[in-house]
Amino acid sequence: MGELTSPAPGGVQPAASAAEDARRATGLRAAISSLVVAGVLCLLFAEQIITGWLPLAERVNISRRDLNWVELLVIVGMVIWGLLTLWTAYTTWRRGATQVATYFADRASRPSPAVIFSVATLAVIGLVSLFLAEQTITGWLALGERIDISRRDINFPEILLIVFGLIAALVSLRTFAGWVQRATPALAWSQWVFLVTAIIGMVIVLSGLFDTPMAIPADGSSIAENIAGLLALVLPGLIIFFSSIAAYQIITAEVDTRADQVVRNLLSRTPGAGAIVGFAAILIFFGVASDLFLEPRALAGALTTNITRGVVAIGITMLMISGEFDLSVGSQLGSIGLFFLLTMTEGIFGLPPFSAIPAVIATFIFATVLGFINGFITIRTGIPSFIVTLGTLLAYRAIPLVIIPEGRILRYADYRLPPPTIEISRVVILIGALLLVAVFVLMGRRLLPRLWRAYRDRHENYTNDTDDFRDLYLFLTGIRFLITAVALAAVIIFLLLGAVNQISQLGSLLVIDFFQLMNGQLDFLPGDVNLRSGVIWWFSLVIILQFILTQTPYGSYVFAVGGNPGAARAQGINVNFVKVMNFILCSWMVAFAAIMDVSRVQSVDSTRGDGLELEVIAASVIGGSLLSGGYGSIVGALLGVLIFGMLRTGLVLIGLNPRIFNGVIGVIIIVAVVINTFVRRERR
Amino acid sequence: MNKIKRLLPVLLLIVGVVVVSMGVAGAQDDDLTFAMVAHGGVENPFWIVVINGMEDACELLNASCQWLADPNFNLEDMAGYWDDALALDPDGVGTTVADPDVIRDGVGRAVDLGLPVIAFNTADPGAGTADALPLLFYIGANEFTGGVSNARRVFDEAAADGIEIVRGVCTIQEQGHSGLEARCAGVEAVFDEEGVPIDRLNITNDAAETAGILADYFAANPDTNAIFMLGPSPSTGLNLYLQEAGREPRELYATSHDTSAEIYQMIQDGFLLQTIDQQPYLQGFQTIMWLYLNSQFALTPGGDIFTGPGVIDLNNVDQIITLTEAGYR
Repeated sequence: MGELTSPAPGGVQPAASAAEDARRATGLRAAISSLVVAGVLCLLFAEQIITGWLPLAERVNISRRDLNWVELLVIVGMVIWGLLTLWTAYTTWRRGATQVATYFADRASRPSPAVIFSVATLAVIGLVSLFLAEQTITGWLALGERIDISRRDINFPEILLIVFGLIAALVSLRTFAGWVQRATPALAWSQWVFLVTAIIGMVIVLSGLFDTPMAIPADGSSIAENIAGLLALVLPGLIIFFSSIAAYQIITAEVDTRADQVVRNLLSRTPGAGAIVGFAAILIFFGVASDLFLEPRALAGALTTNITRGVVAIGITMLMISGEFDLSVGSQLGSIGLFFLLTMTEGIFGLPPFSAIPAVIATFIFATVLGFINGFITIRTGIPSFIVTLGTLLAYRAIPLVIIPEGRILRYADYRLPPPTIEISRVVILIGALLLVAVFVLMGRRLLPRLWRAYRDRHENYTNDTDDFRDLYLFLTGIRFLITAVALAAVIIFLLLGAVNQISQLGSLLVIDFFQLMNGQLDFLPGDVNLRSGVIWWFSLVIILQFILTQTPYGSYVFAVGGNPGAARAQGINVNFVKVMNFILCSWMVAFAAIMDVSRVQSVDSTRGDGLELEVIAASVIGGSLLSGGYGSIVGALLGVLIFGMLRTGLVLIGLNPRIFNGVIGVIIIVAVVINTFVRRERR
Repeated sequence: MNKIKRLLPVLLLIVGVVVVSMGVAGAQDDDLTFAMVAHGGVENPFWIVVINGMEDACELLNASCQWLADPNFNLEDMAGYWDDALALDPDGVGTTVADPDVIRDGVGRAVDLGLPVIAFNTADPGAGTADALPLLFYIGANEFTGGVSNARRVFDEAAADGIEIVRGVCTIQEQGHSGLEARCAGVEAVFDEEGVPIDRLNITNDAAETAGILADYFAANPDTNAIFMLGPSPSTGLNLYLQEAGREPRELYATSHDTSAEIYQMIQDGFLLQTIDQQPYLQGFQTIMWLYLNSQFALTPGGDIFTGPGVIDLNNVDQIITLTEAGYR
């Protein structure tokens, strides 16, 4: 065995460097071909304008032969850029090396064409970003849905562009200066600039493709009649993409750690790599495809509509990590919602109707029973939970089918009851607020000095720091200290103001509308933004459960029980207890979701929650949970649910046939899981 | 010996069941027996009213009647329920025609036996062609004219208010359901005639989900001012959207199909102009009556019998609410 694993003496070095050489040669070839493509595209663009097929700017007469100054500028720019790329490709090919490393190592060496090309690309990226930000600030460039072009307010996509443009300009121009000074950190920074710019280039191509219907001539039948129009839409993006990919390949052909490898390593550390990639891709896709998608209204709607799915997915993920399944969550949602509504209206088991808080407690007891039945049967019989909960899926559905008279929609409004309220003594609120203030003050006392020390150390060691990204770290530690300090101060002041407000009316009770508390519209937002308090509960639950899963002993039991029950048992973990507890936890999440659903819709019908089980399992699987257990993340499941929500909203907004919704979801599940599996394998 | 001992209780049970069922079958021989095969049952408030109509008719005729349907919406199972219907040795069979090919064999055998077969609720889509099932006639609503009635009402009310309908949307909660598609087709026929664009939008039976989809749709199409809902759950979703978006009555010209407490309230509040009622009680009652008339006296009407569209709006909604509580609407 030893012979197989230990290589022949001296064999390691040549073998490794041969692999390294092969990798560099591949990088070089990729750089040269990207350069050639970019150059040809530039010249094609210039040719189209010169020959008059592609008019730019304002042209009154399409057939006239003179060129306006915008066209002249673009032609000159494109010809210069095209020739530069082709020249770089030729010389790099002749030399067989980019000589980037030599440029940095030897201060006396002359910059090779590849170096000149990279530096020029950086300069162009910096200047264009600055120009775009300036145009947006001055209002010449309008983004998103703008009804009134002359208005002076700036909408959300525009703020994004300004912030991003300024950051990109700062980073690329500073890196440009680094190249001139031959400072090695410039090498690491420019990798990231080029990688991000390449992605932006693809986004611009995508956005151009969405506009192709506009390029189809009114009389002509297809886009083939207007090739120039199509080129005008996709060429700029393609040129940006291939130029920055070429620059990226030039640099990375001679460095040790490539930026894309860093990204891959980062992704492989999270279970939900597929979900992260899918989330980003869908956000970018619909952000480009529809002006309305990045508006707060649409994003709030996508969140609000998925509260139920999101909260139930938390429970399912916990359960799946511990190696079990619950197919009955949809039926549980219907039963528990009905139970909650009946407890408040008609009263259950002959009891009088309860007020809100006792009703919630009774509902959670009911949920505990449902979850315990699932867990108990699974543990006691050893039947797979897939089968057990398939049975309870049907059995629990019978509860609303039998109880709701003649299958009607049961409404809170039909009982002519006042909205349920919670009455709390203001003294309790006052004490609670003061306790919270104490907690936050303690947090600040522990946290702030530590953050300040981190910043001070960075600042003092700045000149000795050899890290390529020392500026970024300095900035981030500083901003982290500032944000934490301001946020803590704001929360403490807010709580103190609230407490003072309570003192002035200490005698009276505080009356809170229960439905409003659980899932009411948030008042401080504009009326058309339908963000509800349920979203806050949902995200709080994600944070709490993710904390329990990753930071507490119980969380590690859950992973152990799902990953290897035998080993868990040998370590003294009560496997059965953890599994049953997770079934109950899952039912609690369903109860939470059901109460929020009833608080919003204020009615229950016998099909409520139908089909929910597969949707939340799908979201959980997209988020990286394994069906076999022992692996997964709640934040991943959150991303999975958000992918669902954004897809539904996005498809309606771009007016695509929503019939394809399930088809798209199906493809995304498979792609996400393939990515997850691939990444997991790479980590090993 | 042991084996026989073990088999004995089973044998006794089988013999008992056979004897009892022969007795039951024999007892029913004198009375009239009718069977109704459908694609839905007691889980749905709509079918409850049809079943009420059937039972009332059978009580008048002193006949014994059977409602044969799967609690879940499953078209394929209707073939099995047709076998059960013929096993009852009935004097006539009423059937919905959700899918003609599933029940073709059963209907054929019934006709061979000389039994009258009437389609109710859902008509044979192949009626009048070579593929038509050998059915006597159809008792039920015309979905298409229901859609037409709703669209006409929207244009009339808008004209009365001096408002122009700019764009409409017809929402479908179950993709591929032929009855729902026909309702939308009726709406679209009127819009095409008026030259106004109309969209189709797929929603779900979940109220919260539907409200979210509607919010997205109206964000993308703010000029749409007419909307057509096709059932109770979608209307609940519409109401949720209207309340949450803070929209006023008559900002959107909206109509619905079928009935629910929420639909009545939306009509009273002015959020719905009208809802189309296909008078399901009539579908149960009349089908039994005509099976009786045809099997005993060979009587037939002059053609299909339409139980709808019946319109419920602000004028008659209060009366309808009382009748709904009694199970007639």
